[in-house]
Amino acid sequence: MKHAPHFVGALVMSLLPACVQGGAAQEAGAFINQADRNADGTISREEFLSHRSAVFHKLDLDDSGTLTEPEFKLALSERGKRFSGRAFGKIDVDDDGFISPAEWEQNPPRVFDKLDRNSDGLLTPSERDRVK
Amino acid sequence: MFASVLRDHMPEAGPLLVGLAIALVALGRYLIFAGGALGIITLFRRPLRFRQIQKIPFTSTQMTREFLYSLSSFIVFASVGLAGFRLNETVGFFAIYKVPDQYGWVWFALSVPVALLVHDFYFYWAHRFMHQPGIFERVHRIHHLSTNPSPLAAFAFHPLEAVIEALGFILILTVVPMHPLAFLIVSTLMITINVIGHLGYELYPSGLQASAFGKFLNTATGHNQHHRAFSFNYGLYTLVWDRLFKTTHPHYEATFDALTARQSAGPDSPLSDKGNLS
Repeated sequence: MKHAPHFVGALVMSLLPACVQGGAAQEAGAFINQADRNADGTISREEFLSHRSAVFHKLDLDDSGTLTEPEFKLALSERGKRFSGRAFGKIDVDDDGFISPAEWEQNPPRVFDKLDRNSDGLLTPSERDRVK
Repeated sequence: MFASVLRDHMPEAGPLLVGLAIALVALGRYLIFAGGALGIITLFRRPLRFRQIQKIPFTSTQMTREFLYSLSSFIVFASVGLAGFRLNETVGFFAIYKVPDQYGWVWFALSVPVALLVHDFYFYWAHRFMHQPGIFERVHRIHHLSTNPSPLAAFAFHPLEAVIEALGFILILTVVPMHPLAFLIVSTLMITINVIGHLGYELYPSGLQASAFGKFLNTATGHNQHHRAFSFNYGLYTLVWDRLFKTTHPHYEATFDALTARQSAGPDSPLSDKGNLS
């Protein structure tokens, strides 16, 4: 069929999104590299969570012990993301307008479990490489 | 928009799922709108025969080609949409907003016609560009293989043209702040008016050209004339830009009036069945 090359062209175009760097993967990559404290190449769940609580203190600009909406907003905008009230509300379980350390910890990002393919609680270099 | 809704509810959804969602929503709406329109004009072809714009039937070869190229376009839409979506994650250029209060309900209502006019302006100039000699043969000819298009031709594009059409949507998502629901309305109006343009039958009322709104609304007659005569009626939703830049078909109103008048002439009228309008 004389039109076939065009259809093949359309299929080849589906590779296009792969050429564009998605923001989520980029962020997760930076986060994971920083999380490897002892730089042994492997990240334990403990390392991951302790890095996450270090991030909490970094985002808590006024050292009040809680994250406010403006702090959360700034953190997102530094990462090139728009603020969404829903994302904040999801973490702020008791809806008091502040994210407490407990709320922060109760909301672990699913990225660890997603990357930890064999569910041994460790991210090996090969599992880490799945994030560019 | 569907991609972002999907992402919100299923954060783990891989890029493949987001792309798949765009393609499936585009395909689903195409099957409902274009398929439904084809069903209606087939079912009512006797009572509608006076309103048939070109008195020749759609061929099965033509409809197969139009259908396959539309499927191919949905793959391209998904690719461009997903690429835009990923780029937006890093650069953040989409103006879409999620909380309606951010701009209020007045803007919510206004954003629909504004997005349509912006898209129409883009479409008009992209379309004229694709009719330039040299570009036409490589990009737009596939769509014009149908000189009497059926509703299935709504998305029958060469992959490069599909990219140009998809960029129109990236453009409105970038320059017009829209709530996802407003974008849903805009894209539904797009497919509706697109299918009407390729209907092959003029179903609008006879007095349309007399009203100010009707003068600027694009019609099945308008776009069918474009497919046959090529260098007139470039608009998608409206003829605003065609009227402004003087590219409306010289016999547009006369053809529209003749087609819509013949219904009232009745089946016994000497005008019926014969008389090929151009």
